[in-house]
Amino acid sequence: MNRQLFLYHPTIGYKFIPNIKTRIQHENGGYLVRTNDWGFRSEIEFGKTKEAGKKRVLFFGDSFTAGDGVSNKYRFTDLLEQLIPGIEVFNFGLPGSGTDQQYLMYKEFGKDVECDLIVVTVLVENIRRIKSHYRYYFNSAGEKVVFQKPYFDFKNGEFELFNVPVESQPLKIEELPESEQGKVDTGGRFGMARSIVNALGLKELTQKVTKYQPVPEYNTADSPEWKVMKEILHRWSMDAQAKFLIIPLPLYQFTEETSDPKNYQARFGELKSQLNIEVFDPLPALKKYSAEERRNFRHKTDVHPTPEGHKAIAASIAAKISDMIR
Amino acid sequence: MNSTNQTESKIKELFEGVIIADSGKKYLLTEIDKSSTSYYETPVHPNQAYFSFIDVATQENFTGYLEQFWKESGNEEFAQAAGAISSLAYSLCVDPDSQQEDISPFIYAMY
Amino acid sequence: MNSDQYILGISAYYHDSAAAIIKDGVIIAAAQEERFTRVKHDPRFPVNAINYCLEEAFIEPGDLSAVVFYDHPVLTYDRVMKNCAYAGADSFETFSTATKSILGIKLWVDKHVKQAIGTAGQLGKVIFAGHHMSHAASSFYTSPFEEAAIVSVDGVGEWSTTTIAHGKGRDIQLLQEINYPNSLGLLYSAFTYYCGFKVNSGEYKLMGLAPYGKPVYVKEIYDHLIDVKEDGSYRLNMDYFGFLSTHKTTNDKFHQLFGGEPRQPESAITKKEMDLAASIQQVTEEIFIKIARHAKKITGSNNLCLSGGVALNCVANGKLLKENIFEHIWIQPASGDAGGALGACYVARHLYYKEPRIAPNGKTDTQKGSYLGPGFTDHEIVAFLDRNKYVYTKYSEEEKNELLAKEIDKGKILGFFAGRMEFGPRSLGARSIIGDARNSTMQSKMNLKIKFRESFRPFAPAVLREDVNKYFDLDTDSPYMLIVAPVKEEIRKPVEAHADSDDMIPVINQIRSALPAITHVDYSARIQTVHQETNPKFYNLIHAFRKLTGCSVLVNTSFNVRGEPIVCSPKDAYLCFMRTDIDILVLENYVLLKEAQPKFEESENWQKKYELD
Repeated sequence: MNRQLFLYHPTIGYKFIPNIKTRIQHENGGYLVRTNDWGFRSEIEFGKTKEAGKKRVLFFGDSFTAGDGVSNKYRFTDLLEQLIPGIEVFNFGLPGSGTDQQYLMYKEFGKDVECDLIVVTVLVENIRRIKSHYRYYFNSAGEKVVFQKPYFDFKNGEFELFNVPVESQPLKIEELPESEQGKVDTGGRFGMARSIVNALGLKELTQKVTKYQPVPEYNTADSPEWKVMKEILHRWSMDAQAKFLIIPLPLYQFTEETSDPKNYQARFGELKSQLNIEVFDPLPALKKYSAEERRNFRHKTDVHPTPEGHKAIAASIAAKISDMIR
Repeated sequence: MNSTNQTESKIKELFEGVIIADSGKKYLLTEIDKSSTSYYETPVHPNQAYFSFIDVATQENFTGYLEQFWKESGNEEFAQAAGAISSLAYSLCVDPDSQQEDISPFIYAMY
Repeated sequence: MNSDQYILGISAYYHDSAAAIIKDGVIIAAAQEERFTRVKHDPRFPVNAINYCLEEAFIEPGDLSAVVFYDHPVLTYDRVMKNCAYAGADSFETFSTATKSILGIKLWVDKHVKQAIGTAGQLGKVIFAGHHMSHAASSFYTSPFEEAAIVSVDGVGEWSTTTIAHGKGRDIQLLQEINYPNSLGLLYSAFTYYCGFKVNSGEYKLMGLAPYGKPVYVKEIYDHLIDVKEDGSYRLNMDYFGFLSTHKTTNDKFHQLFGGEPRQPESAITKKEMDLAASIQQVTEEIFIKIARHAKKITGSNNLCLSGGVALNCVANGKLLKENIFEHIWIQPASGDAGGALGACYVARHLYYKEPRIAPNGKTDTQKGSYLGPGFTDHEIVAFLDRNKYVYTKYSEEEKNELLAKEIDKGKILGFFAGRMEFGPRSLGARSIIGDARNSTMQSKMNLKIKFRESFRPFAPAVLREDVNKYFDLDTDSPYMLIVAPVKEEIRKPVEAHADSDDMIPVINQIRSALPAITHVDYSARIQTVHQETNPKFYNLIHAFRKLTGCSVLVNTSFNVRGEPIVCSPKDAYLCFMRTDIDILVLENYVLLKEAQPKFEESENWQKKYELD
């Protein structure tokens, strides 16, 4: 039995059930998850008003930020509280979410929270999710189900939100309109080929030889996916009630140097140059570790960061966070 | 001979070489004794009855463990087979995921 | 004292795997693996139960001081070897199966633990507690007693089948034992098999069948099958049993003694099976009482702790209580192998680490009502219901109980899900099906339309503790449904039909008391006293029913169908609710009416999923 972790949310699609205390079985044995009264994975309760003398940082992101695969205390957000004296971190991470849902999460739950810094940790793969209208999930019984998700897009020159309120019930792909059939995010490129390569145990070698590019959506500045991503982040930076920072979190292919990061780095670089949004790239710092250490930043088969991976991420961004809140 | 057949063969060898060879011995208390007043025994295996450790760190360690176990209980004939049994245990060791859902015929729990 | 000492206990690989965890001697959690995997009596390594224990304690595996297994596989293999040496060449199949099972799986607990959670705790290696020591520890260390005689009786664990020990403070001393193949448990199981029920799970059916019969075979049993001494010690006559060299408990000689082949499972039950059940039940009770007398004699104690599978024979427990051999008796509610996980924790704490015991108060046990499994918050229940668009109404506790009392009074049947799940084989009001004990059709409706099981099987009453002696000849606590006592003479009704033919139906359908649904054929009842302190939610429901009707007794049976493990989660409960004729599902304070639910469809045939028990 795995406990149900998420409840339906009409705007975001879903979020953590409040006040859960559970342990999720995992290839590393398992990890502890606790959610607070607001329904976020956290050891502390959230409140709108900041404690005098404390610096407060809000983090938004997906499962890398929420901490899939590790207990709360091993996440980079929790480790930052140890590395930077006097700060408290609110982790609003939501597994499986796109940057669009994370922005909606901010608008629903974060915009009235008094803070010194808002950090969006964009797992670079999230760009694919923001163009999806549906996404596969595994329910508590381990079954694959498809749920609708909210998304933003340009329509007649206007930037609009679609699929809200989100349908609460799982859907069957074959019953979707034909125009929507290709809008289901299945979690990666080349599904069938990938599963064969993975089954053969040739993933790393194949990716290196083929110069595998896991996120081609960043290849050009005018790709439709990047335009949506850029608009979301721009709007978010304008809405932010405090300093605003974007941290593109690399996929392991970039950390382990089997894929070239220059396109996504260029796109995030443009946010700074064109929109004056603060961006910090942790990849150079992560690449300083040995190849063996970097391999241990992710689990054996699960690509989410291990405690070592979280530790390295925390170490790579601590100085930047510290600078921005001083 | 494949590994399954090899294992079967080892079990057969153990059965015929050790178990059947000792079949004359009265290992089980089954005699009905109308003249006695009690069938209670004092604990027969006090070293294991409370708590203990089993050393399976290596095949050699386990061989040593079994030898000592049977020597202490006065079963020299089994102690001599410790190496073969340890080897069999190492060749039979399977992952828990591959367990069958059957229940051992050797334990009958009531209710 | 070492603070924050967490110990994880495991029972596995035989029957009903389980895990338990204690912190500084206090039980944090315990659960059977079957509840999570939905496989009845699941014997596999309890990875889900372990996960739950770590979840409830909310600790990392590295925080565990030790991991303890409840049995010693080498000692068991020693028995197998000697058994087969005794039995000779015919036992090869038995030897081969056991060798693969013990040397291939059971020996490697340490490895399996490390694979499952990455560590064997700070000790670094698994402790192996003795099987009967685990049983003894599970009953003594959770009992209200500072000092007690401890009796453990089961089929077999390693070599032992019956042990007598003495517990005092943090220590237990094993005093005497009876060893394999002489086993009261195996004797009872032989009759279970012969009467057409499954060994290991059908024993309680045999016990339920016994009152329909007459003990006409008692002499045959004593003359041919077992020699019993005055002190309760015994030996089996192995000429009549098959388990030394085959997988069957009986042999042809046994069958000849009782006039033919074993009854085929699911075939009609005849008077012969009823009489056999009555006979072996009487023999078991007589031996059990003699063992208890002997335990009293050699320990001098006024207190008795019971465990092992035979301690779940609540009819025998009731007889033992009536004998007044001991002033106080405490029975571990998870007396079978599952409870060994809990006992193993205490073996490590008090015998390996030699930590002192938390002083018992002499009155209440430390089993916490045996509500040691997972609970679910309102947030989790609402998330489940909303996600699936199930129709529900939320009530306050008081409103809910008023409503439910009225519905029960109208003859409605509830699926009642409240608080943490029970540890052990009995539903005690946390995962229960509830009905009106006064209703004359309740027993047959529950058996045939809810549980899909044999019509002869009785149901148990749950009664407010303060009212127990209004209805039953009992005035002691029985919170774990482990004691059978007679229904009071005043509420009995005379009957006409008697069990002297093969047809049980007229006997079953007789109204025997003002509480027909829970009054067994011999006017007995398997009683659960309900206490405000340990289960206020269940207590308040019965209290509301008493306020409405004047009756403080409800039918309480396990929340499952035949062959299914008791429900664990809201999802399990909803499925069972929709698959059966249960009228109302109560998930904490959320009430669901059957007729209001969306159309229920399943892709698989659930009745095929659950093998008949």
